[in-house]
Amino acid sequence: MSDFHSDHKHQLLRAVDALFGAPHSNPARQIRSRRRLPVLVAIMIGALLLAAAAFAASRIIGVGSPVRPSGGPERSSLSTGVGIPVQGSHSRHRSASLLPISVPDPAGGLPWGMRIVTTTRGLLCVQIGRLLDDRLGVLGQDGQFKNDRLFHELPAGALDQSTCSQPDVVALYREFGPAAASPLPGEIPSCSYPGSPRAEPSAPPSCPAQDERMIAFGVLGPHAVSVSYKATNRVHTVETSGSHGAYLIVFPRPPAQAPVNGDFMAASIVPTEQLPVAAIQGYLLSTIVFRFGDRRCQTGPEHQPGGPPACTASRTATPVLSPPAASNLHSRVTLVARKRAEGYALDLTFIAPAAVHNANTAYGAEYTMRGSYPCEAGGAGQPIERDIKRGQRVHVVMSVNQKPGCHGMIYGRILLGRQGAPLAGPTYDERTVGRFSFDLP
Amino acid sequence: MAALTDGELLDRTRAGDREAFGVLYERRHELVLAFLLKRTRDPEVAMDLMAETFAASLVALADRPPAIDGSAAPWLLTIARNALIDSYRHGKVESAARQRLALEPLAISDSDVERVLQVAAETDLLVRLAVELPTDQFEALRARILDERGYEEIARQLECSAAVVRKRVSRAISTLRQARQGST
Repeated sequence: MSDFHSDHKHQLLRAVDALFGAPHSNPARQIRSRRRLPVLVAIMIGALLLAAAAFAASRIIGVGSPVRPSGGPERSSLSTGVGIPVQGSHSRHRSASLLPISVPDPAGGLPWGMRIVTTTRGLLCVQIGRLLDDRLGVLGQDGQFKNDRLFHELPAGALDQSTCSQPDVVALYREFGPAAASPLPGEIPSCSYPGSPRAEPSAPPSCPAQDERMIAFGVLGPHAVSVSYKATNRVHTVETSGSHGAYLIVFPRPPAQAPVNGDFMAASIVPTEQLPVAAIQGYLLSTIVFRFGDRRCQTGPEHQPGGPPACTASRTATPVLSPPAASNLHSRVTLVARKRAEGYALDLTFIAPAAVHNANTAYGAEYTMRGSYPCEAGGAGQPIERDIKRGQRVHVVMSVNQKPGCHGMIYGRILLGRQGAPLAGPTYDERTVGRFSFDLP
Repeated sequence: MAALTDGELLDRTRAGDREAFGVLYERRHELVLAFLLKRTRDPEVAMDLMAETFAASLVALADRPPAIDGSAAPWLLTIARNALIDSYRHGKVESAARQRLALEPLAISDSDVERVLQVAAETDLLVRLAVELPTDQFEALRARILDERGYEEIARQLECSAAVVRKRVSRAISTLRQARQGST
């Protein structure tokens, strides 16, 4: 229908040739040859680029500088973002937060470990890394830490918000290389994932394909007993660890039968009894066994013969997030518009009618624009990711990009609601706190 | 080819018929775009997500072909929703599928944006989905997935218990899942 769509469609058709083998397209064949490289590289099923062969367990490994928590404006603090580790949960040595999980590396390198960090904003964050002397860290290779071949300890404060969740929901994760191998958001490795196409000639070369790892991990809650998964044509079962029901699985390379399609995120928005079977399968599990009192049940895409009966909704129910408690949530919103080169900045101020104590709830601002063509629709939303006291004066700035000839009315509101996932903004049980409008001249 | 069902088009696509996927794209991209625009309210982000959605659908088709008899809309919307949630989670629109297929970044012009807004205005997302799903599943799915409302609120509106809403949503998701993956 337009240049974008025709170009996009053309690219997709070339990809069809490459994927499914139309005989007339040589460039597509080239793509196909890349496509035959590890199946899940580009679909975020934990490809960890840490070569094991070079780090045999018996080899002495030097220790480099610890990983630094990310900086910049997006860095979380005690009361913003995902928060920071609560005191006592970031011990350097094995502790309650560093789980008693040690998973051998498929190629014989340092074993893999898992730590759960409770943050000051009430979230559970999961960290995955290699274990060396009861310390969790990452290895300096495959583009990380300038390939210094050293072990770099991963402090609890180096959190990745994408592996944080509300504590009372099930969270399943599949990790992609840089997020887990290098907990330094924004750091650019010197090689890209095996099989990934080079976007431009100056892009870094691919990392060795044999370095690829795939991990699946999660926290299934206090009722979880074990998880099962298929590998090398047989079913493996591992017990979950601790009160969070944690598990960690490391594969040498993505199995071809693994599903695709990115994060389903049933994890953070659906209580246990609604955990879709497809989501369990998507996170490489075949069965999860829960225990409620003296009874056990199993759920998942592949019922284990001889195992407990299938779970039912009532038996596997877990508490859902509690709704905002305040009743009168009205507040007057003050708007001051400032002209900018690309449009306007709307300075919004309101008095918080209810407190936000943690990342389970959040205020947010959003607007829609109504006007004459071509500005008949559009809008934006912005979460306010910080703890807020009741009665506190809250200030948030929203940008309005004004295209030439675009005039109309901005209608907006301040919301308070529960967050389906950290930093997602109000998602459920939204309440309108106040409204604002602006005549876009 | 226009008379073929979505499922038949996907079968032909897997057999190497590029035009079949072209027909599917023309048939479904407005629906996907309307869904994403409704959720993002940003035409450029919606277009970016739509591009990732169709790329991811090809990846899925290659690696785990869905068993789709009729409409592929539920399957595509599930993929679109996942892409959307990924973008919320990571603070950016993911491009993993496009990277895997070696698709190049596309420029979005003002005229593209104008057309997107026009398409969204002309596409009644709910009406189109209503013909894809059984009534009760559609109602629950609309509220829970398209509108992202809580079970209790939906239950009040539908005058049933939250448990019933959960069950309906579960069945709707199951329908989507079956369409997407063939079996559960």
